[in-house]
Amino acid sequence: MGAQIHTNKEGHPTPQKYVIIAAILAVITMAEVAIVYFNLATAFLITILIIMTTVKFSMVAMFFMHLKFDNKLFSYLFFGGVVLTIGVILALIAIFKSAGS
Amino acid sequence: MAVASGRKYSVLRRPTVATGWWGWFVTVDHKRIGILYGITSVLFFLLGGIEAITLRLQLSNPENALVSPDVFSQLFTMHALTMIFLAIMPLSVAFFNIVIPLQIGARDVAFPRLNALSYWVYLFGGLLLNAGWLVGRAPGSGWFAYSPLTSTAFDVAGGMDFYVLGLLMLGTSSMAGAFNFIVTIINMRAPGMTLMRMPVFTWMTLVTSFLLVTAMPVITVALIELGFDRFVGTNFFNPTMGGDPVLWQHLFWVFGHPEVYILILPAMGIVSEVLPTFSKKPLFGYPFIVLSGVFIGFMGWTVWSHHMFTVGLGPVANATFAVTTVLIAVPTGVKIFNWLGTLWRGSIEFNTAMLFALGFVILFIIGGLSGVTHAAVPADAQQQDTYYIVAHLHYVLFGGSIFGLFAGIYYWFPKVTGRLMNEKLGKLNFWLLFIGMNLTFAPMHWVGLDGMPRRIYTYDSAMGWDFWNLFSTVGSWVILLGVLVFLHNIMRSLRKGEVAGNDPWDGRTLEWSIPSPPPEYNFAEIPTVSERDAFWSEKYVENEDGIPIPIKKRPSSGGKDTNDIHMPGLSYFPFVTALGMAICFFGVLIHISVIVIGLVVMLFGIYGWAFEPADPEPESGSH
Amino acid sequence: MAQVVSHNDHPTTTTGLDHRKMLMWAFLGSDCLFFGSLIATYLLYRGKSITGPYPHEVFNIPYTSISAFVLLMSSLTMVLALAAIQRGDQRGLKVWLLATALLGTIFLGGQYFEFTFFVEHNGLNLTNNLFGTTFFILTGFHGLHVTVGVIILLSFFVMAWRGRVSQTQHLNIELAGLYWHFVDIVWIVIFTVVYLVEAPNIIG
Repeated sequence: MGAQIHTNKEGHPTPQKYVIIAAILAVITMAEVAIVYFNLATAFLITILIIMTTVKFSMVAMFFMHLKFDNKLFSYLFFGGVVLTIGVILALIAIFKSAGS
Repeated sequence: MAVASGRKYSVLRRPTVATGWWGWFVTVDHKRIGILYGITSVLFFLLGGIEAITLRLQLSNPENALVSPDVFSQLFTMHALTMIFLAIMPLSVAFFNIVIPLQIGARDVAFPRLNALSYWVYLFGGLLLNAGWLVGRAPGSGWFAYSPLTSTAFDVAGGMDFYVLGLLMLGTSSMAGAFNFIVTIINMRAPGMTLMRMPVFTWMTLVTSFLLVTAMPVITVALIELGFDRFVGTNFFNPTMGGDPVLWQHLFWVFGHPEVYILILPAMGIVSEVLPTFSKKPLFGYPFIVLSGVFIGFMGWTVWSHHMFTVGLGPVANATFAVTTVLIAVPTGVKIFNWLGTLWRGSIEFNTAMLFALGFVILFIIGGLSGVTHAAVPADAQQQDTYYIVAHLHYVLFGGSIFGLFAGIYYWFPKVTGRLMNEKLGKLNFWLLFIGMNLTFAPMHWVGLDGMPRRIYTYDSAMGWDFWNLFSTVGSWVILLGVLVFLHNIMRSLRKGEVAGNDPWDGRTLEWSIPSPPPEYNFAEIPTVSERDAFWSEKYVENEDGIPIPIKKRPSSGGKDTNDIHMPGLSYFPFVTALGMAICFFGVLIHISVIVIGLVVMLFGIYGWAFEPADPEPESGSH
Repeated sequence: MAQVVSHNDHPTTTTGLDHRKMLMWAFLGSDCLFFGSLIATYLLYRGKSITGPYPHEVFNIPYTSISAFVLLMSSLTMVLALAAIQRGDQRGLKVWLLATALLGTIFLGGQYFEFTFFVEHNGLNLTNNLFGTTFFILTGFHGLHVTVGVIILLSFFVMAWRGRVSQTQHLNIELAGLYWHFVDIVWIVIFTVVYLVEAPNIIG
């Protein structure tokens, strides 16, 4: 059944492209580590770190896990979980902050 | 995981004998697994019932000393855990198993062996949870197990060990089952059955399954944290080290509120099948019912802190969760109006299944209304931890879930067994339960608002609660009588019930188009669906006044050559894997060597599973 | 598990998608909630330890950066293994599977030495403060996921070694890969929210 299910073969990146993506990921990781050594304001630093983490997260999911090329349903299943998780974490942090506990 | 290689790589031969008692251990047939789920959950329902009867006896008069305070705590904790995790949820899963493949026109679920695994893990998990009774230390900190009552400092006897380990196993089972039904429903529908042509029960199963796979991981983490606190001495819920008991409450209710909808949505699905069938009308407002169900599932994630209004989360959090809680009443109300619209001008047949469905609607409205009163934060401060809450939750769980599931039993029993249940006994069963349930739980509203706290083992006569407590206890015996009539009806109908035939109710959905009990392969030919109420549309056309006119030609389901239908082979490995897991979990309480043995058995099961040949003829069609 | 879709008269699925792949994605979506709850616990307890050792006293950012880098690169080798089997390159499959398992093992070794260092040198363990409790459980359960992943990869490597993974079976490798990338993604998040955000406290 593999053949009929895997319709998107031509859309998949080539090994060269995978290497390029990995190189970008490596560069972002180095930037993440480097940036913490600059004396930035904490809020600013954390914002930048969250942005870079999100980019890395999305790149692995989109390219290495092929969500960009695959059926949308898989994206819904996965990102549904991701969004719910983020929502619960943020809500909990907000509740703990507002209750001051 | 599944790697279909040649037979020579299989560790054990694939079993070939499906008959006899051994056949139940190796079966992967969704209908047989459904029956296993059904029987086991009814047995646990009886156990939970015995616990409830004992609780009521203890409370029947003031300063009673039938059971000790300690045993009383264990009884109410185990009553709740048993009814929620071992009776209502698995009985719903029994219906998922039996009905879903039949309603969507499939021959089995997507992962038959995973399905068997779910059942065995459920069985072992239920036994583990109850094993505390055997050593005289069942969990006794309430079903939501608030910290620090669950710490080793306060739970000296160690009953919460069984809580942690038992619920971890049961959660695994639920998640495995839910993944299976998500894939089955999305991916195994008969040609033409679009999402908006799916029967409502199938829809509600899908929503419930999504709730399970998202909510269960949260309680899993909470249980892991509690387990580490207990077994290793970590500090998650240890206030002396900075741990916050309120975090347990949050994690528990982040799971706990979706869990509430996990308990009720399947029953709502069943009622949405039964009401149209016996009103001889299509379900009124199908898209609204479906979307309300989806919306309820989503909103279930946004209301958890309403269980914690009295904790002191502050006005912002309380106000937010009060608003979301009121909001969730809207889709529920939409459903109720649609059910009433279904009944309107229908030619209603008052048989037992229909009576239970109507009972569901009535009792759920009462329970729902008392539920909305908790949404008002100041009112909730008064109601919190009183019998008013007990009244509310039993109206939605007994009057709601259990009545819905009983409707399902009377409705689908003929499909499973080929015989109808006795209607006289059925009606007696219904009225005893309906009256008994109101006698038992209605007075709890008054004693609750009068201030009677829940979970106390006794009370003083001067409080003025004597009469209504005795009243409730009498009511609980009426419920017991109703359940006994039900059991008698089941046993009698299995032997002497009237033969049902394919379609005893003039049903609307595909399961009624095949023989009762269905053959192993369900459908000789996979049906093609062109309308909602797929089977109804094969039997009737509507004239211009909207009156259904029977079509003379009945669709033939016989005469097909069924020899070349490949059904999934039997397998030992689900049982072996579940057994290994159970040994592992019991091992936590015994010795680390037992854990290792369990892991070895489990690994043997998993590898045997992965390398098991897919078909009796290796490599055929699969690769 | 693939047997049902192989019915002769019912060969395709409703959506045309494979059952197992859908199961894997649903599982990964669900596993997000699992790690999310652990991360939530860690974040809510951050800075709530009553006694030391505190995070900024024990973390070694350069050391962990190398671990994170190793795991990130294992995602590359994993995807190369999949690309190899998809074009029928058995040798490539074996090389990249082994490389991935090896990188995973290096990561686990790094975690082992990090944990041992924390316990023996810094006196941090599961029980002596809230930080130790939440840190070891969160990263430990991630490590458990990596361990399971390494076992799966090695199983497939042994099968490939014996020539039991044919080109048509690339879906098996793809599923193992999805799980592996997910484990990598979780570490991307943990690396930031656990380690990097402490850096200002370390550097001063």
